[in-house]
Amino acid sequence: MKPSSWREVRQWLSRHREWSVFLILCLEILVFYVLLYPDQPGVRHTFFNLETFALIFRNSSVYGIAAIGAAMIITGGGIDLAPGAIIALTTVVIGVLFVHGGVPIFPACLLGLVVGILGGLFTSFLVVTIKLPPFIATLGLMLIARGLGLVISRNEQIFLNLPQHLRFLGIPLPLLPIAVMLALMLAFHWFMLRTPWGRQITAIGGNEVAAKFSGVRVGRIKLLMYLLGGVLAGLSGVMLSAVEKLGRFDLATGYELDIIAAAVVGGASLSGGRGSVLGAVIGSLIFGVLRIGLTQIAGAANYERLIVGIVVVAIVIMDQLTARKETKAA
Amino acid sequence: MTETLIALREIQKSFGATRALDRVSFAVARGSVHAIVGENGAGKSTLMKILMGIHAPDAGQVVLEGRPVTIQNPQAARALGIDIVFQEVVLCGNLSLLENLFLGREQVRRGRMLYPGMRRRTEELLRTVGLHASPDTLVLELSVAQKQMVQIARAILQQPKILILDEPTSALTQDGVEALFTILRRLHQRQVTVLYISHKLEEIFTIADTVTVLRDGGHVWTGPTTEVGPEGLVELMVGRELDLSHRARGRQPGEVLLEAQGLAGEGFADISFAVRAGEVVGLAGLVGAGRTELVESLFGIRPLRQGSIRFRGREIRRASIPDRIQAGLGLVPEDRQFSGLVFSLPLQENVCLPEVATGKLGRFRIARTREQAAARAAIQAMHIVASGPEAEIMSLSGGNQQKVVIGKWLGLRPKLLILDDPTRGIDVGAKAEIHQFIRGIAAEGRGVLMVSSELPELLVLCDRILVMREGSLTGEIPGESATEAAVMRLAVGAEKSMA
Repeated sequence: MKPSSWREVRQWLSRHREWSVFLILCLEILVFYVLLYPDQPGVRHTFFNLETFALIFRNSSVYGIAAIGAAMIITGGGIDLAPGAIIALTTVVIGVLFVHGGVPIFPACLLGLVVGILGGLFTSFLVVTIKLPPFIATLGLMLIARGLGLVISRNEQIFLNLPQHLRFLGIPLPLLPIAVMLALMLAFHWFMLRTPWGRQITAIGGNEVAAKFSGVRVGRIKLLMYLLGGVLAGLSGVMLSAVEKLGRFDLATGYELDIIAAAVVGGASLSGGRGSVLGAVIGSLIFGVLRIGLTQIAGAANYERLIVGIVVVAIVIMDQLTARKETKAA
Repeated sequence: MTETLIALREIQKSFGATRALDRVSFAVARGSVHAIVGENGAGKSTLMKILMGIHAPDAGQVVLEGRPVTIQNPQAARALGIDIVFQEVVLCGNLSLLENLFLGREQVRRGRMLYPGMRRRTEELLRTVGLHASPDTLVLELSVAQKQMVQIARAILQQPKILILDEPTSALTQDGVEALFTILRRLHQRQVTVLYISHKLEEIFTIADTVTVLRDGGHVWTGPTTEVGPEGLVELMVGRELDLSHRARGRQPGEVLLEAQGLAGEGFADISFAVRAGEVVGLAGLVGAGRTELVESLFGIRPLRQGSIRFRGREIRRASIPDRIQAGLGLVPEDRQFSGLVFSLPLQENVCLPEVATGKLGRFRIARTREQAAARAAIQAMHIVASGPEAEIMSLSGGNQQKVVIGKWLGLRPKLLILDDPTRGIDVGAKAEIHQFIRGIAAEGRGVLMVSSELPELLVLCDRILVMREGSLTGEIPGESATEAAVMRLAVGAEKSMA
C-alpha cells in the first residue's frame, strides 16, 4: 500500500505514534552523529559508539521504567507527581538496609520495592476512597516521601559498595536497568492492549461515567493502576541504586516532570483515554540521548532543560493540530 | 412575498472518502418555517454546520439576501443573523442560566457587568420558553429537556434573522413542544425565518410550511408541506416503505423480573411496580415527572432513600452498578455522549466494554477474535453504519452512536434492559430498527423498561404503560386500551380539566 502523498504519510504517523517518536529518536541520533563527527579521520566518534549508547540506555531506563507507569496512569485519566520522591526514598531505604542493617543486597532491593507498593496504596486510598484529585494526592505523597527520605537518611548520603561483577538472573549489573526496562515495556504494552484491566483503565480515562455504567469496577481498577505505578516507581529506585551505587534523599529531583514529559511525547493525552507504553519508553530515550549528547558538546549542557521544554511543547502542539483536523473531519 | 432569504447552490462537502453533501441546492423563503428531513447520514447536520460557519464547503455557494457570503466561523454567522440551537447540549454546566445565556455577549459598561438588565432579560426569555427556573440555577442541575430550553432561549436572545433548530423537540415532552411552537409562531409573526430539522413528521406538518428532503447527501425534493403527506415524505426520505404501526401483540408475561416497592428518592416517592419476563413496560410522563431519576435509582446511579428493589427475587438496593450488571440489569442512559460512549476507544471496544468488564471475553487476556466477532454481530444486528469495527466513535452520526450504546447490551443479554429515551434524535429508519430490537428482547422472554416522551412509540411497543406525574405513579394503562389521550390525562392530572 504505497502512500500517494506526504499527507497520507503524516496521517499514518499520527495514528501510529510509536513510529513517529521512533523516527524522531533516529533523527536525533543522526543530528548528534553529524554534530559530533570527529575532525580528524581515524579518531573514534565520541557519541556514536557502544559505550555511549549503553550509558544512554542505562541513564534513560530509570526514567523509562517510571514513564511506563506514567503512561498507564495518564491513560487512565490520572496523574502522578510522586515518582521522583519515591525513587529517592527507595534508594535511601535500600542504602540503610544494606549498609547499616547488614541486609544482603537482593532482599534489600525487595524491601525497597515495598516503598513503591506502599506509595501506590497510599495514592489509591486518597484518590479512590477519599476521592481527592490525583494531582493533590500525589503532590502530598511526593512531599511526604521526600520528607521521609530526609529523616531516614539523616541527611547523609549512603554509599553502596556493591561487588563489581554482580549479576542478577545472569545479567551483569551495568546491563540490568536496560533489560528490566525492555522487559517491563513489553509486559505493560501487552497489559494495556490485551488484558481486560488495561482496557478498563483506558475506558476510565476516556469517560469514567460511561465506563462505570458499562460495568467497570472503577475503584478496583484505579487501585490496581496506582499500585502498579507505585511498583514501577519503586523498581526505578532500585535501578537507580544499582546505577549510582548511592542512597540519597534528594536524588531524582524533578524526575517526575521528565517522566510525565516522556509519557506525553510518547502519546499520552493529559485528558485521559490515550497513551502508549512503547512511546513513553522511546520518549525517555529521546531525552536520554539529548542529555548525554549535550554533555559531549562543549558548553551545551546548560541547554538541556531548555531543549526538553521546547520539544515537549512542540509535540503537544502537533498533537492538538492533528486532533483538531480529525474532529473537523467527523 | 416569497422572497428568498437564503439559497444554497451546488454545495459539496466531503470528509476524507465520505461524501456528506453532493451538489445540494435549494432556497429558503424569508419568513417561512422550512423543515429539513432525511435519515441519519443524509447530510442535514453537515449542511447546518456549513451555514453556521463550523465547516467550509468544498464547492458551491451560500447566498444570503442575494449576495454570496463566506461564513468563516460561528461569530461571523451570528453577525450575519444566523443562529442555531443544537441537538446536543453545549452549555457550561458549572455556570448559571443567566451566565450561560449571556456568555460571550455580556452586557457591560466600563468593565462592569449590568446584572439587573441581564437578569430581567433572562427572566423574560425563560418565561417565553416556558422554563420555570431561577436565573441563578446552575445548568448542571437541570434535566436534559430543561437544558434544551435554555439553548433555545440563548439562540433567540439576539433576535436572529434565521434560526436553525436541530432536532429541538428531541428532549422535550408535550408541554415543551407546545411552548416551542408558540415561540416559533411568535418568531414567524416577526418575519424570522426558521430552519427546522426534525424526524418527527407530525411536528413538521403542524409547524412547517415548506419541507426539503435530503437523502445520502443529495437533495431529493423541496416544496410546500401541503403538497406531500407523511407516507410520501417517508418514502422520499428512505426510498422504501416503512410500517411503523405494528401494535404489540399480547404476550403471556412470565416470571416477575423486577419488583419495586415503596421507592422514594430525589424527585419521586412511593413508587411500586413490577416488570415481568417477556414484557415491554413503558414509563411515560412530562418533563420533571421523575422518570429519569427513578430509572437511575433502579440501576444504582442515584441513591434510594426508601423502598426495596427485588431483581429476580434478590434485593439489589445496596448493590453496586457492576454487581447489578452481573445480576442481569442493563441501562441505556438518557445522555448518550456523556454517559454512554468512550470517545477515545474505537467502536469495537465500546460495544464490547461490558463484556470485557465482566470478564466474559477472557479473564486475563481479551480474546481478540471473539471480540471482533461480537462487534461485527452487534454492527449487523443494529445495522450500524460505520467504516468497520475499528471506526472512531466520533466519525459516527448521532443515530449510529446511539445504536452503539444500545448494542453494548447485545452480548451480555441482560434479563432486564432499561432504556431512557432511546430514540431521541434518531431518524425513522434507525428508530424502526431499535423498536425491532426491543421487541426481540421481549420475544426472547427477557424484559424491557422504557422511558419515552414519544407517545406513538410507547403505544406501539408497550404491553403496559406506567405514567408518572410530579414524582408519583398516577396510573397504569394496558397496551391494548392505551390511547395518547389516556396517557396524557394521567401525565397531566385530572385537575387540569377542572381549571
